Amino acid sequence: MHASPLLQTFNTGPALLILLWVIFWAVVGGVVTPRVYRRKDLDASSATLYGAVAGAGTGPILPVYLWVKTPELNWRWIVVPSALTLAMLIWAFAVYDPNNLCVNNGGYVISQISNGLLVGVLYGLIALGLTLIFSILGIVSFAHGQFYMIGGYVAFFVVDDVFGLNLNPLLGLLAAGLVTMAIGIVFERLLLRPMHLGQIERPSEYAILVTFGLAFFLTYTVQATIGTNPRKLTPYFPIDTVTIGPVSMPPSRVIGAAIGLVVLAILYWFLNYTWRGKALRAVSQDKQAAAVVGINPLTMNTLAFGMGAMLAGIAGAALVQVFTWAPNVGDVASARSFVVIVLGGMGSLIGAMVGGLVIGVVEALGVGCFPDVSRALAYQQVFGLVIFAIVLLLKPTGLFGREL
Amino acid sequence: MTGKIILWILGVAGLVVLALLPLAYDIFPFLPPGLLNDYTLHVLIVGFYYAILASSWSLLMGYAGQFSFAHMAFASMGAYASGMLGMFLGTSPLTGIIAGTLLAGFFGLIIGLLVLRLRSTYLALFTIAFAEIFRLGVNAEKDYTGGGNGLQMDALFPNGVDLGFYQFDSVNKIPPYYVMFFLMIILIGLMVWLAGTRFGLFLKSIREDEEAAAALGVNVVRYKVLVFVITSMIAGLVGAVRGHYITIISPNDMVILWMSLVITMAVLGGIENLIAAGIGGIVVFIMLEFLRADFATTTVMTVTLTILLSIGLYQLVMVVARRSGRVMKNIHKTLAVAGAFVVALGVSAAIASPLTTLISYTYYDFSGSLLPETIDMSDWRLVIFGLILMLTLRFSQNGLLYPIIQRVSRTGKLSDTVAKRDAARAMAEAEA
Amino acid sequence: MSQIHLQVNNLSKDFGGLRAVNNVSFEVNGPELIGMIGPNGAGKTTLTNLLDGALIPSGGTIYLNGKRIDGIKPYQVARAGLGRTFQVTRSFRRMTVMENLLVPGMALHTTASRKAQEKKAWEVLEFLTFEHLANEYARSLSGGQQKLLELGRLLMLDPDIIILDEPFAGVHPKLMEKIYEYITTVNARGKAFILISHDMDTIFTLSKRLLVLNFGSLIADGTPDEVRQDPTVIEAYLGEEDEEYGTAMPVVDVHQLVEEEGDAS
Repeated sequence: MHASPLLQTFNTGPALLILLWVIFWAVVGGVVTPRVYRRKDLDASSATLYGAVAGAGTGPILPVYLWVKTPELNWRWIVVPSALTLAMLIWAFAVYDPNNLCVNNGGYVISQISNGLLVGVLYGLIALGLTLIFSILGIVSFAHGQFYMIGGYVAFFVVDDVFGLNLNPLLGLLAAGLVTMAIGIVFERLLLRPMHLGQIERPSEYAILVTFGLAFFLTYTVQATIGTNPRKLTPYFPIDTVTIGPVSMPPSRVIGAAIGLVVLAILYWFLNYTWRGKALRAVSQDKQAAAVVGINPLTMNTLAFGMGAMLAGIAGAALVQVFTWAPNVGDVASARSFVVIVLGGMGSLIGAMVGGLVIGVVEALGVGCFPDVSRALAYQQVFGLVIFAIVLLLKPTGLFGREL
Repeated sequence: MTGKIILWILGVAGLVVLALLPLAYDIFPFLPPGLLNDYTLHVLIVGFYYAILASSWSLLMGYAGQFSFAHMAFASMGAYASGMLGMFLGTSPLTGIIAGTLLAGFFGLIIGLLVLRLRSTYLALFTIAFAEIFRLGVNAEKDYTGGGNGLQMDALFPNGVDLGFYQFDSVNKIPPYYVMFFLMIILIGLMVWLAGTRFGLFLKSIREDEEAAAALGVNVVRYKVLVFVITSMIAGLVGAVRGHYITIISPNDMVILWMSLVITMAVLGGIENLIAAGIGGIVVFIMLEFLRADFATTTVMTVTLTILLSIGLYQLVMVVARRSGRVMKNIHKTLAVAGAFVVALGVSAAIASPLTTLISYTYYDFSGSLLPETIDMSDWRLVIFGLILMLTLRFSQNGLLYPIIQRVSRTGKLSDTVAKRDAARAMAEAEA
Repeated sequence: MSQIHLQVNNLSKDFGGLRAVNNVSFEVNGPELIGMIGPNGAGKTTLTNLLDGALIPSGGTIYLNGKRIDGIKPYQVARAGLGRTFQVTRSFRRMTVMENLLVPGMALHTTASRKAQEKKAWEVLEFLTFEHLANEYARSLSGGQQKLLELGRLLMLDPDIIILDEPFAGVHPKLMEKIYEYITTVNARGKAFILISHDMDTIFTLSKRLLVLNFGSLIADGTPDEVRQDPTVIEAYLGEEDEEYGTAMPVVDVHQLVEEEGDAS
């Protein structure tokens, strides 16, 4: 096909060499390390990932050290190599495209990162609901993004004046939370509880399919009732663009992130200082022990699913003033939440937040730095998904996850 | 006559009808015009396509227990491979289709090898990621794939088909109809045959318990990878053929909606039976097309009310019966269902029209107009299928069609079964 | 038929820092009936998983009929002639009894026709007195019947050495008798058995030879009488202070036991 019309020159050759070097040692590290650990009868469950990262980041140096000394693999052995891997990739990228804004404009990079972090808080918030559901019910809800979508619409209709409601944004957030929680509770009671009562033959397949069916149902119910016209809300509060040095953050995102942080604080309080919250955490750690001390696991399932849906709904309400809203935003949100919870570790609340921030930054940088501007936005989700697929293959329990 | 024979006769008769359908006016000149046209044929062609996809997804999911959301991605991959070869190298559709099949099989092999360690939820998530990356990549690489506008593809038979005594031009629906029809018979037949051999047996044992299967000598890795390769190739093949039939392939063919529909088709038919899943594919697709039209609001109202009322009445009857301590036999239940339906239909028909008028005055559509005379079902039909999917999963996990097939096929064997059951019961009693 | 010969040399397995199996060596010569006992966590199941190929040994070798079987995949071990059951019943629940039996039959004989295997399966069903259940789903069987079905699958696999992990646990006395009969009959047909069980009475009555594991090591290998008097064994079980095992190694006829329990229920 014809060459890119952009007046840029790309140093493909040298960049490719660096990339091949990284990939080669990543593969060597990833393949050899687990074998070495297994041969020495050490825990090899993380060795593939750690070995691959060590190889990618340091070439042969760290892998050889790992093979000779076989230290116990804890976070020490992944943090620095990850940073070095990142550095190698950035180096390759800088060689490839020296004129890129991301390479020669530090302010632009910082600006992208801070915007990514702002959205990342909300990605984390959506995924938090999903990870909460997983930690209590042991299932991944494929309808999670739909709760997010519905939350956004509820807030939109409450705050906007299509119905002449024009209410306070806080009421919009509240309504979004309540509506999505109600849908979540009804769904859990009707279709998920039978699973926990042993009335369903193949529970794990059932859970995937039935939540998937719910997603389908909710998406098209919304589409059939209010149509596909994209809708957008003006920022909830009239504040100015926040500018700190080179960083400029649009008001809608700042408001969204602030809402996210407040909800996080409330959630933290709920989980740590209320009876129900503590009960939830108890169930997530040990179902049987929790049942022994008198916590009804079925009630906790319903509560967790309702809360998970509510968190997604509130996140939707917080983001409806940032992004344009259509019935299919749920699909993207679902996929992104999967990425976040797998990256952070299924069932880990802290992991979901960290994963959300990471994905927010990765997407922002990916879009901001992609050499071909015309395709950058189309690839926005792909950056996260690729990381997701790699993490799934190398360490399905994620960075902060626990064995199931 | 045993049930098995009845099913065979029905199946063969159905296939014969479908095989002769394009010739219907030649055989029966007295048929009313308008019954069969290009649109009917089109619906059936795409229906056959979904039958193959639903059936092959069932092989993967129902037999092998491998949850994949990437099936549509493989179908599109076949189509894109063929379309791009045709566009850049000018290859014929046949070469393209073969190449597309092989490419899909190759990716199936890679995916199969990569996901060996992943189970259920993780597998579902990984395949979603794969499908999404593929879709977004196709969308982004406009220069090669046409991006969101899609990629033009050659017609299945670019020069038409010349049978000597009759010529079909390249847009005639009859050649693609037969291509898809025979593909359906061959591919589903192939899968049914495979399912009956050691292959199907081992897949089921892997689904049930991988470790136990391995301890009994089953090469788990080989069969898991093989089922991915086979189903991906089938998806790639029919995807490519469909692409050439429609003459365009776009990333919209891969959005999650279509995967949802394939899953719905397979689940409604019955994921543990390849033929039932295939029939589910055709039936669901035909119903989707049928429901695409605008319906009079009163009609929709009547149908909705009838369904809701009959469920409500039936539940009421059951509650009353339970309260009064009556034992409901199956015949009573059937009568209750029928009675509830008739009453509900009558009531609904009577109140639908006034109710619609009433709502028209109170319900304000968001676009500002009053409740329309007709309702556009194109979104509501999907709502209906979403609902049916959830209810089927909850109340009839083997699907709606497969249980019927099972029941019919057992009719002749009833005495046999009863004897067997009695023997089993005697055995159990002896144990206790 | 070649002579059955299993040779385990210095087999070890570590999990991280824990040595689950420590330098275990023993041989099986011909159709022996061997019991393997040991307190909880002694390494019995780990040893089974090592023999079966589910785990790769940290050290040592295993030879079956002259062929080295450590480090090869479980399905290859199964085809080489070593079959096992699991502690928890693992029948293929959503497959019929007949299909359950066909899986190992077809897996073993890659060229055999389904007909021939079905014929063989009917013989197995007859042996288990299961003919009437052939087309029932395995999930509809009782727990004990599922255990029998697992034994039936092993007959179809036709291995030289059969390892049964807790074959009597949680089984109704009537079926227990049947399993007992299965073991003796199949043993008489020339198959070697290794039985792992907590049920001392049965093991001591049934086995001609006992292997005793403790903390991953083989602490005794001999006839039941020898083992009963072995000071290390007594110490191992005394050290446990567990009522179930007690001090005495009981001498009870299993048939008598079965009858008593049968009457009681």
